[in-house]
Amino acid sequence: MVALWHEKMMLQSQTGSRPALLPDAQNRWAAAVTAWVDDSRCGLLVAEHNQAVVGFIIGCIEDNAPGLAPARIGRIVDLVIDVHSDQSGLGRRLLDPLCAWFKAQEIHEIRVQVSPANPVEQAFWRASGAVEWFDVMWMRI
Amino acid sequence: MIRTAVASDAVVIGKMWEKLVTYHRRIDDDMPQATANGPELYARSLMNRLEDSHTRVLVAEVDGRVVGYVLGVVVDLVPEMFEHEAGGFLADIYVEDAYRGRGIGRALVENLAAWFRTHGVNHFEWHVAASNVEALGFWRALGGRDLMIRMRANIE
Repeated sequence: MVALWHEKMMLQSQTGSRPALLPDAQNRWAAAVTAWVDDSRCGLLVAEHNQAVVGFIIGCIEDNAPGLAPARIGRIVDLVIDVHSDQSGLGRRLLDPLCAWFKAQEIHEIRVQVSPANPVEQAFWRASGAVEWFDVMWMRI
Repeated sequence: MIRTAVASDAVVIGKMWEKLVTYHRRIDDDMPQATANGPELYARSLMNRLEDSHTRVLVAEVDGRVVGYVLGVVVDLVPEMFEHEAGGFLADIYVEDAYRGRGIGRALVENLAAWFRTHGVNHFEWHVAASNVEALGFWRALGGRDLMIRMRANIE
């Protein structure tokens, strides 16, 4: 999982995304995964092929902002597919059971952030019923 | 005049927040909906943070009347796998319709940015409704750059 995540981050960094990965980012991410696995508000699913992990999805239940409905939403933390895998439909096969888990927790809305420089990822989410909702912007001061 | 919000601004800020939510709902059905007591909850949440050194609520006053506000927080937005940068988040900004086009929004942002700088913050982020063309134009004119796209889906 760490290797897949790191490969995705390295690809993303080539688009000039901010901020930069730390040298020990993989160790830090592995520690974060351990915390997500132990957290009852998070679901983590992996896809295997020939006993190798070829993709995974992580989603967590979070409180919405004060005064806004619904009170709780599901956040997709990461969806990563091995770009070298020849398994088609993996993203959907990971997302569907995670959504079923969310629904079992009374969560009926999910949110995800995608890079503006990643049209493939955007297309996946649109095909999965997601709509562009907010642009996350930034500026240096 | 831009000044720091005080407790007596709570009701008017709650009402402006409600207008902001209503405006978003008018341009996009998928925008978040306020709960029945949303304005009160929002105002209470803000007022509870007035003494918080990492939160700043500024209001714009014209002729003694509060016509806009901005809410900013100093927050660590960066996951632990990435290089740490002290960051700020502009959570909400609103200017009453009749007072737009006078530079009040820009003044609120510039004052908040100045406060961010006093906290060692060298950048800040915010979310803009993808359907809010007016706001996207405002932010791009101020030098805002795209970082991520936030998407949502119902899973009924």
